[in-house]
Amino acid sequence: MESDAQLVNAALNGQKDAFAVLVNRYERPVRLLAINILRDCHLASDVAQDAFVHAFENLTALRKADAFGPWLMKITHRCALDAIRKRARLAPLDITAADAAIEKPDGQLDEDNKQLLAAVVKLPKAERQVIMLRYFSGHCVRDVSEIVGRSVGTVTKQLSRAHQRLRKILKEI
Amino acid sequence: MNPKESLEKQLEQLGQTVSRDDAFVANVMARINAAEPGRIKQNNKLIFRSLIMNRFTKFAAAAVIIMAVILSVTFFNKTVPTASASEFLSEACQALSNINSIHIKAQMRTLPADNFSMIGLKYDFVPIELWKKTDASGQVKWKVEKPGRILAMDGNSTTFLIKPNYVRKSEPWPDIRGYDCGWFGRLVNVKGLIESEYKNAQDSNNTELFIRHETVDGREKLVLEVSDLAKGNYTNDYLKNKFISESDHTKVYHFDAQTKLLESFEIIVHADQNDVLVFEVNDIEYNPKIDDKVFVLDLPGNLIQVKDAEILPNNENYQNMGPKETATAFFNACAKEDWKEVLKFWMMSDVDQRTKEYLGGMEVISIGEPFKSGLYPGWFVPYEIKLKSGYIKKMNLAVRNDNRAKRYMVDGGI
Repeated sequence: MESDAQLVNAALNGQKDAFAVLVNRYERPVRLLAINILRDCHLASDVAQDAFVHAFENLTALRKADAFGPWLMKITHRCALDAIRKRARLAPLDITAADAAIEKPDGQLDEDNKQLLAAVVKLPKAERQVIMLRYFSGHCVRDVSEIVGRSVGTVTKQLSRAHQRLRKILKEI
Repeated sequence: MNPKESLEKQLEQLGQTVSRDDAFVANVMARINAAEPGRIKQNNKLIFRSLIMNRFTKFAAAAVIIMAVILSVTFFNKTVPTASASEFLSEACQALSNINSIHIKAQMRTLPADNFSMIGLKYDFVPIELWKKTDASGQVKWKVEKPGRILAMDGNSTTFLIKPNYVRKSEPWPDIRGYDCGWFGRLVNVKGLIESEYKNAQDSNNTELFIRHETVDGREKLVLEVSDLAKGNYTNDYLKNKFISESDHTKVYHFDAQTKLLESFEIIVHADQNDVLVFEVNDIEYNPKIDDKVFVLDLPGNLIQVKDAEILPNNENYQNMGPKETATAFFNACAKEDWKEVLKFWMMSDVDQRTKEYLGGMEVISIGEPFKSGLYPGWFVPYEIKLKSGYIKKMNLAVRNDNRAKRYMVDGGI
């Protein structure tokens, strides 16, 4: 399995197929994040597409090729907030509330899932990335290790720490 | 949050709330392809950075590939360790040549008083501590401890204690071994650790060994990963994933790239679709001052000695018993509370009060056909008994006869 960094570099060298692999890899985490902010499945799917197109167009701005995942999540967040702002122009919506949507999700997920996703979003970058790849994209630990270019041991440790941190965050919610 | 569901399960379910959309990738790529030919935006500043980045990235990528080629040693093909791998080995040994004492704090998914290398993928972590010291005269002392079990060598003798009061003393063992503690021994013998992993990998067709560079929190590390398949016979998989050696697992050693000192260590068990962290070193202290008292156990009173099977006057009668007959005779003796007879199958000097209360007066419901599993040299005998409390227990009694009396003795599974 090719790592994110390898795929980003291949895409920068004109191989669009490599970028398609990245889209396939991050489709579900990106859509999940967008749904949670936008509370609308169809709009979230459009925004998720926007996020990938935006990421492709700005790929040279990505300083570290192996940080593609967390960088893409930031773009998704921004695209989703832009969509809320656009929608707000049509129908009044409190932007502050929309900005806080991640912390206080109120989308189509049930209460438990909302809390869990809110906790995942609060994780440090590296831990959030491995959690999303492992559970939202459904990759095994060995694949995640290859995708992020870290050893199986490091990924497992990061997952273990993320679990501990999630339990702590969930207790506080 | 449903407390009964594991966090892992809840995360998986959260991920499944969004199903994969087959058209999604095609739609995104169609939008990218439909854009202008110069789809990747580049301004002058970005082009400059991208050129620099690409040049460095390419150089770094090439270096990584070269390093990977040089350092990777795959024993599936029995590749001979390369010069660089050997160099790393000798540098690591050199770095450790001034280490006279070591103290390791770790945690393991195990039961507090059970075998040292016994694991359970769903068990909670239990603290493990290891000490080793070589004094000026060259005398070695060491200790391995988990909450319910301690093995210590104070220079004069080796003491094994299962809490509260089972004990065995023997001659001093210079290396940590016995009572399935051998792999802890390799861990505190950091100097020989990598060498022994290389040797194990060379001797086994199922072992894959890999060294890689990695940057964690801005610090360069050398990571040695050793993946191994479960050893033993799994016609019956009772022992699968119950011990490290009886699991498909990866051992991951993290060395500081500069000092070459081992900084952390993990064992991950690969079980079906799940990879479970079962052992993790939290802290390694090199050359700490360790008081000699650490290696001397403070033993409780009324000790029960753990002992080898003795040759009985009518030993032949017992030698002729197979695993199933032994299990039947043992449980019948417990049912009759005939503790003198029980001791003929029990590797202890006495039966403690707690065991007497637990097993005394029980009823045998059934004894099944013995089976073998994993690396265990003896047999497992399935049994179902009704305890005096009314509780019905179904389990497998472990019996083995690799002792000087050549008769089956109960070794576990109570």
